[in-house]
Amino acid sequence: MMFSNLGFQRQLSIAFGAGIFILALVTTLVVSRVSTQALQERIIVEGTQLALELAERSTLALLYESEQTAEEAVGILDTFKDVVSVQVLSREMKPLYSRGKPMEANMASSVNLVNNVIVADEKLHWHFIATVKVKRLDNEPIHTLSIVPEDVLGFVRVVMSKESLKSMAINILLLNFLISFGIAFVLLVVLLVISQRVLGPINYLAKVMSSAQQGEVESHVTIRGPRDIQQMFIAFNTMMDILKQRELELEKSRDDAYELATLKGEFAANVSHELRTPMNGVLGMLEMLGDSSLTGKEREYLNVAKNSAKSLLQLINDILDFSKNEAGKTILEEEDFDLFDHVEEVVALLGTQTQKKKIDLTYSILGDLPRCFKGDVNRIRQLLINLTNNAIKFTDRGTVSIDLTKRDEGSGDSAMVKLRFTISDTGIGIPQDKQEHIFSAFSQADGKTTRRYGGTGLGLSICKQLVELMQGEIGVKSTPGNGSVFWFDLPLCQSETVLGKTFNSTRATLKVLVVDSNPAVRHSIEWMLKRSGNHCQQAGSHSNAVKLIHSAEQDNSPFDLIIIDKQLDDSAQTPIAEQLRATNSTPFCALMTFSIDQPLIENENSTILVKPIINSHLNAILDRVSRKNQKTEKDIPGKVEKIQANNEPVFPEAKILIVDDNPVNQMVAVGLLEPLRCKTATAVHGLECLEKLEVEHFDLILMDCNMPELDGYKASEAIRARNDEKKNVIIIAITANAGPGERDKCLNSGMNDYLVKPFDRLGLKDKFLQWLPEFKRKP
Amino acid sequence: MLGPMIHRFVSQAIVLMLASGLASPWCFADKTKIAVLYPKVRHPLNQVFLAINEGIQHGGDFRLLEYELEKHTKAADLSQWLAKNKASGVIALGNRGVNTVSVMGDTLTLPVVVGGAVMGLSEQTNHLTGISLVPAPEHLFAQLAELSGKIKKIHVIYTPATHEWLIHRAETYLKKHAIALNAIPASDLRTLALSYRELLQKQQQKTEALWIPYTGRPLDRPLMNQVLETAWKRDLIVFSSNLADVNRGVLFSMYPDNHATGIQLAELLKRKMENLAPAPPLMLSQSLLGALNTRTAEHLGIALSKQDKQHFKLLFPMDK
Repeated sequence: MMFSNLGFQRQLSIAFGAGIFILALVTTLVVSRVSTQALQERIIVEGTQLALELAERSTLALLYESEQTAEEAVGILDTFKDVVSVQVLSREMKPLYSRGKPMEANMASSVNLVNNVIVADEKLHWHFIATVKVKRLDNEPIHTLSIVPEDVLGFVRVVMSKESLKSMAINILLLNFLISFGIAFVLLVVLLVISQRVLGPINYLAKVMSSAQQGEVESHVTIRGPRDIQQMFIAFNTMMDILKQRELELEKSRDDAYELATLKGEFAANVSHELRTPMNGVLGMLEMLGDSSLTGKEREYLNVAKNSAKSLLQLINDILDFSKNEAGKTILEEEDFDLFDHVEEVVALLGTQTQKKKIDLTYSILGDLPRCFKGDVNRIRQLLINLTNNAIKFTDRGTVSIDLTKRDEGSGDSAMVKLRFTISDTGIGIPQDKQEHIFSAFSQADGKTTRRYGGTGLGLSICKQLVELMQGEIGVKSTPGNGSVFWFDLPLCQSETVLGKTFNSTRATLKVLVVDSNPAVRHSIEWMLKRSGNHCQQAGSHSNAVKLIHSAEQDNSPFDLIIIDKQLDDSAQTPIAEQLRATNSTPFCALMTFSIDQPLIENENSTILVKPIINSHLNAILDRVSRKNQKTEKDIPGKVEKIQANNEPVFPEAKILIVDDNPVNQMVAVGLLEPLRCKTATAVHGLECLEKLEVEHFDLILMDCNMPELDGYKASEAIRARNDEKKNVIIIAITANAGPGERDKCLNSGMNDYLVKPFDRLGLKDKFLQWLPEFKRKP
Repeated sequence: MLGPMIHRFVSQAIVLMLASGLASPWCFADKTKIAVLYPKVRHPLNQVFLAINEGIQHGGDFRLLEYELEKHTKAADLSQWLAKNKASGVIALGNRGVNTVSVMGDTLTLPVVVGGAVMGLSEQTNHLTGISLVPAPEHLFAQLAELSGKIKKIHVIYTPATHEWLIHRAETYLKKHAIALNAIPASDLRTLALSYRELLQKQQQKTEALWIPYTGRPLDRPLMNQVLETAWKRDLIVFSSNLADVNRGVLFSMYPDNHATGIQLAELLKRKMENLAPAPPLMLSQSLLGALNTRTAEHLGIALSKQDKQHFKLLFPMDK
């Protein structure tokens, strides 16, 4: 592992060094061994020759039996320093002459016969023993030169020391070692030089490549080194040139795409303004037309025209939103909001549609969910409205439910909470193969769906864009014929601010019975009741309800409130009211109904509760029941929420200035304000607005943004720059510009709020209620 | 003129053809076939036999049938071959040839002469007819006298079993020439070595000479070296019946003229085949050539002229 972490040059050096070292070592050992072996063999041969020579020379000595002659013969060995002992022995092995210390061969030594000489190889010595022979005298009559019989006269023993051999062996080893390692060292140096010559350019190339990796596209190498390396360098330079060219092309493409996106955004903004302005005129006129006297047929035509215009407006909004999102021009806003209230508002907003279709619209917020968050509440409302609208559209009977749960706590940031919004319905469902593309633009389940239910197919794709923009996820689960469940998860940051409505904490705990065949309705109401600290029991049928009532009576714990579905009650043999007359207690009854045309049955002990049931309506009833129980009659606002089509507040004392260069828009605004009984004045541009403000007092200015002479932004700035009290006049922007940052732009220029064209009376009324509460009067 | 020239040419051609024996088989048909047996040996050991063969061919009007004797040649095979080739006589050369015919004995009915072997004249060999390679000592002594006329005494150490007859012959000759012969017997090698040592210490220069008699094999080199070293140191004259000793350092020796020996062998066989007279016994070589060691001669102060040297067939040391 360590070796593999080293650089290539280091690895090469180590590998070469190790190889050469091993080679030198092996060579030294082998050569030394071989040389020593050869030397030893040569010494042995020399020893045998000495022994043979001595044997021949000792012939006369043995013949003469002369020690002197033997000494003379042995004299030939004087020059051989390794000879440590010489003996001339008779045939009986008796020494005739000895020189040096007589030595016997060790029995354990190895014995060989070399050139007819016995060689005993000991650790420290060799013993060479040769036979002294003489040819027998020829006494044959016919003499022959063939094999001559010989007589043994005696033996000679020559003992040679191995000291010389050992010292020579050491010298050979040292010499070989020096030569081998010397050559190895030189070889290693040469190899390193050569490798450096090869690797130097490669290292240089690696450095340049590293700088190229850091982003220096101008990195180029100077061509040098061996031919193969030069080709690498050339290839690298070519590659860098290509990369640079591609980068330029990519930059150009990016710039083009950015320019295109900007154009798209500007187009969307421009188109938005150009489309909304005439739409404002159309819808405004239709609304004003609705206020006048019309025949039934005319009203019917008017409604069709209004619906068509609204559909067209929705389509335009969808397309513009989609374009804006595609161009990446959508900017999320962040503000503190009360989630519970906004969900309730969405339910209230869409309640009209469910009432018409007589389908239940419920909502619940489960778990320990905080109320207040920070985020783009408008986008979240848009998501809820789109998806719930969709669910209502594709459901003919049953229930549409909105549920909120906590998905999980965000990791790291303790304030982040991931919420799951689930919109489920009992509608037609979506085939499995269509679910994959349901969020794609211009996609609907099938053509029949489009023909029957209408729609552009942009709504869900816009939802997907918004969810993804908010770092969330969206999905669907559906079975044809069994409804659909759309969900989206959003990470939201909890808000410290306390907003929205608080509950009446002084109200006593009530015992409530909820009776409805739809379990979703029962659960939703139960959730609302328990949230406000009340006890709740459910009954899915009229008979079960009666049982529970009687049971409670018997337990001496009667119900304070019975919330019952009117249709269920009407279908029973004995209505609940009659049932209750038989009991001692008189719980308050709230009859849930879709229809707003039902005659009111409201009295001391009963009231109507129009579906969809929302928390504020329920709270009003609970307050009333509580008061009834306490026998107090306080006039609490928001008594019974019924749709009061003809009960709009008016603002007769408010003086409104409408600033718009478009006479149609002026006419629309004036027409819409007429039922609110405001006093109105108009101006065609910012300059005229300032002039009029100079001489008159206004309570609220509806300011168009894009005007000649002086636009709405500058006019607002000018008003705010005044030194008198008029500088605080309420300014609401009315703009067809739904582009990014339009709200901020309006607010930054000093405006208080803004209203997007085309707007309607309701929108105006809401703004007036918000900004001119002191001017509100009952009709 | 042309006619006599042609006549002469034709006559010479006829003579040559007849003389060479290369004429038509009609000529061979008249020649007696004799078998020449000799050992199958390699060069140069076979030079003796080839030279003798040559002499035999020149010596008699024979047609030679050559038979190389292997180490284990069987007598029966030889007999068969002799019969098949209708040999009329046999010349056996070399120790192997002599031993073979000896072994065959009476089974070999053809006349046989022997040669080319070192044979002593003893009871074991007196039945043989032939010429031994041993040079006749008289010639050696005569040569000695020519080289150094001052010699009064000749020493010789001999093996009684081998040289007894030789010593007698030498003694007889030397007595006639007033030269004393000191013959020292030595039956074993030790006695021989000791005798040589003692003798060489006592031998006189110039007036005494040491004679090394013929031996079937050379003396042991240490002994020979000892003899020659002592002789050199003491300037003693040593001569030998063995040619090989001259190269080692003895003053001179004599060796058979093998060609002449061949002629003589042929003559002997012819006589034996003709059965004109009793076959003579084995003889020593009389046709001898001389071999001289010029270095030894120079060391001994023996002055030799060019002509003197030309008298010797072989001179040692030989020119390289």
